[in-house]
Amino acid sequence: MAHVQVHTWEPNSNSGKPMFALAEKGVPYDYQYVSLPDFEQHSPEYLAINPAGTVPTLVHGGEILTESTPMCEYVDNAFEGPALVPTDPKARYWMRWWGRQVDINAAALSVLGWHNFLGPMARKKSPEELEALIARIPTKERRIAWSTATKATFTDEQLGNAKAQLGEWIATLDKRLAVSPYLVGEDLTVADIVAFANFYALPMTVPEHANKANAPHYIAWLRRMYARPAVMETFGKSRSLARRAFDIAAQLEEDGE
Amino acid sequence: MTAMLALHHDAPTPDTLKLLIALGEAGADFATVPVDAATLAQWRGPHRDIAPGGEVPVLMVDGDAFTDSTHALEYVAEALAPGRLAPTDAIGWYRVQAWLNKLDGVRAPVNLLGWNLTTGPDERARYREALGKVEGRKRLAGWSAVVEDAEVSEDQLQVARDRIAEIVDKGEAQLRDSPWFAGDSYSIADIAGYALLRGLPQLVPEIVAAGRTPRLLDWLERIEGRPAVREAIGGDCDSHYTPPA
Repeated sequence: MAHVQVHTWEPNSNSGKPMFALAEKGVPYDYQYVSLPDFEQHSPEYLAINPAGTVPTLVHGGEILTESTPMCEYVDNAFEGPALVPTDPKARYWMRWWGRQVDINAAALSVLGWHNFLGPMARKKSPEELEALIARIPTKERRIAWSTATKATFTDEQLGNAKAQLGEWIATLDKRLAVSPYLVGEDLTVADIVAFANFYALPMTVPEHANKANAPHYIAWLRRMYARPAVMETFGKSRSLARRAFDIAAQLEEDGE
Repeated sequence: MTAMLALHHDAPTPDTLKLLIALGEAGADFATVPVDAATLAQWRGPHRDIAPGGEVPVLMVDGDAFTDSTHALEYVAEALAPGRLAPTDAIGWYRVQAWLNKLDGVRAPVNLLGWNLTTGPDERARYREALGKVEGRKRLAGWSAVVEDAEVSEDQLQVARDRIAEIVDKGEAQLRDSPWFAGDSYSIADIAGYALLRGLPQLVPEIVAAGRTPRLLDWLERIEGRPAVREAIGGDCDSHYTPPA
């Protein structure tokens, strides 16, 4: 088996997608930690591998892959192990459709993630240090985005809107998961992996929406996902943010009794 | 078993055009249902029943409404033309999907610039007013919600130009390495790329021109010469852009 390297941050959001996918396939990989709060994704060493300065990057057999969701389909195609993509083309459409909804709603979550976590960490740095870090971002578009983001403080209304959108999204997930145990049917697919990588912590982020009374099927899905050995093994690699998964798993366990 | 297919579509905007071309290339038998997006028909009556978010185009497949045009395009390749419109090996399929992702990422700037450079302020104001009256239209609360329902600034147009230049340069670099976006064969990545980028020589001649992007222009011509593409465009050689919704 060819050697696989994953350059990424935490098993969290886009960074986590290939980690969960590889673990589900049972493929060992070399985890190269890239610290986003320290802007390591814009270091010269990292840019030599991925000039766009985004995480994750998967390296396999001389190929460098940088698009996180297609990367999961690649992992499924390239390695033996349980299938993560259905064979029926219509089911594949729906798997990818769910992937798109995940990306759309992850944008609302990123507002909260920035507010709660990355923003305060970035603001601990001096303005000069921040400016220097932003100057080495490779594309103008991302420089503008990061510059805006490091200065951004959200209004209560914007935070409220983001939370309300997540509430609607949880209701959408809950409705679907009332019909089948996983998003596209009886078995886990890439749709569940990308949804879980983004939304594993909602009981902590938006407890007013993500609770058993409000969204029992979503919570049951989370419990199923947290019960998967590949998932917990992956969280075991976390060094910072995703350690919260262990508290959430314990809480879900307790509430489930 | 052959699926029953119908494409509900508007003028050949990039998303509609890519599906028309791919269905043609696949030799698929499909019905078409016109949706007059200029009068916001996608937000009314029968279309809204199949696409509650006002999406156009929609590919109906045996009663399933595929409202995501890029994933519908992947369906056409995988289900209706297996092995002909996309490679099936792991890295080949990844390259196709990676290009589709990149192209999806610049749909907004291309449409923003196209809409603003091909319409006048009165037409845009009338459109915004009509759109404002649509009931139950959902706005997303993410970063994109920062974009207002108003005339865009020169700065925003410049950001759009920068992003377009970035993908154009990527395309030009890709075509230095391989004849098509995803490698040695024509694929849905080229179809989606053509549908989105074909208007750029007129729209941004400072970015797409013989002196700057000869390979991209040659690639556009090679694609335009294909019978399925000519058939999809019909007599309509103008590029159409999707106004912001």
